[in-house]
Amino acid sequence: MVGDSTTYPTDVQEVKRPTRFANYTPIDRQIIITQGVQNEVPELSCPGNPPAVALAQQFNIRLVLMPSERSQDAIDTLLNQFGSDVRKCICTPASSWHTFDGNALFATFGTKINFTSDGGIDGANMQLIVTYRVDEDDPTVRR
Amino acid sequence: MTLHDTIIEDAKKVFANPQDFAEPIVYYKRNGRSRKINAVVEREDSLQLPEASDLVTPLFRVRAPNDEAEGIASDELDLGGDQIGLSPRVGEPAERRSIVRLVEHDEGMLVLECR
Repeated sequence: MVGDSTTYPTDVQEVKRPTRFANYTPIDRQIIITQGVQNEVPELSCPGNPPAVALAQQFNIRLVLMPSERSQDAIDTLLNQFGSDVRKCICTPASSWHTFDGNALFATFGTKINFTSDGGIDGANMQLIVTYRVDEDDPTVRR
Repeated sequence: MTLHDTIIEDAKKVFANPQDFAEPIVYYKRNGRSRKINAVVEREDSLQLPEASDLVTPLFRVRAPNDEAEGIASDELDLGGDQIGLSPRVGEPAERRSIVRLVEHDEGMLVLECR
């Protein structure tokens, strides 16, 4: 999406994964990615030696908007467009995006929560939940 | 000169004096222009972001004269893109930080929140 305003109308300025003390300054059309809660999925886990454990990892994709104060565009419109573009980008290619190059069983989008301008920023947190399966005793081995 | 005038003048000559409280910073406007000004920078650590409870970030409060030449004029400020160039910690190289809130202002001074 960065630099591709033909396919995606929202011209994203940067995508960040923060360090311990968030090492970025908020800017307009910015994406911040963090990991959220990880849950086990017993119905997709398998017995064996070692057993395989299925895990659902939540990712928080925060869409930051800081349009000019003089802008007459409705913030909701900008946010809807931004969210749609991000979703479209993640879901490409349509047939296999949910496996993330064969590393995941599937992926789904969770709740999208808007945050408002308490800190002068508007945006939304899109949740993406990726489910994958690994050795119980070695999470780096895909099953 | 009235007391009102004196207070406004003090904002530039006392508070914004680098020999007293202030330090040199750069005001970057959304339109690409910038200028060097003097302002008082208060550095606070570890603000939990209102939009992301799992993230903390440094917070800066910048007190600058309300003046389009020697500070920042309240009617030119744009909270959608204007930034301040300042040292996150004293002695470190300057970085650009977005102005996210106008905390308060009067005819003499602006108090800006930067992250």
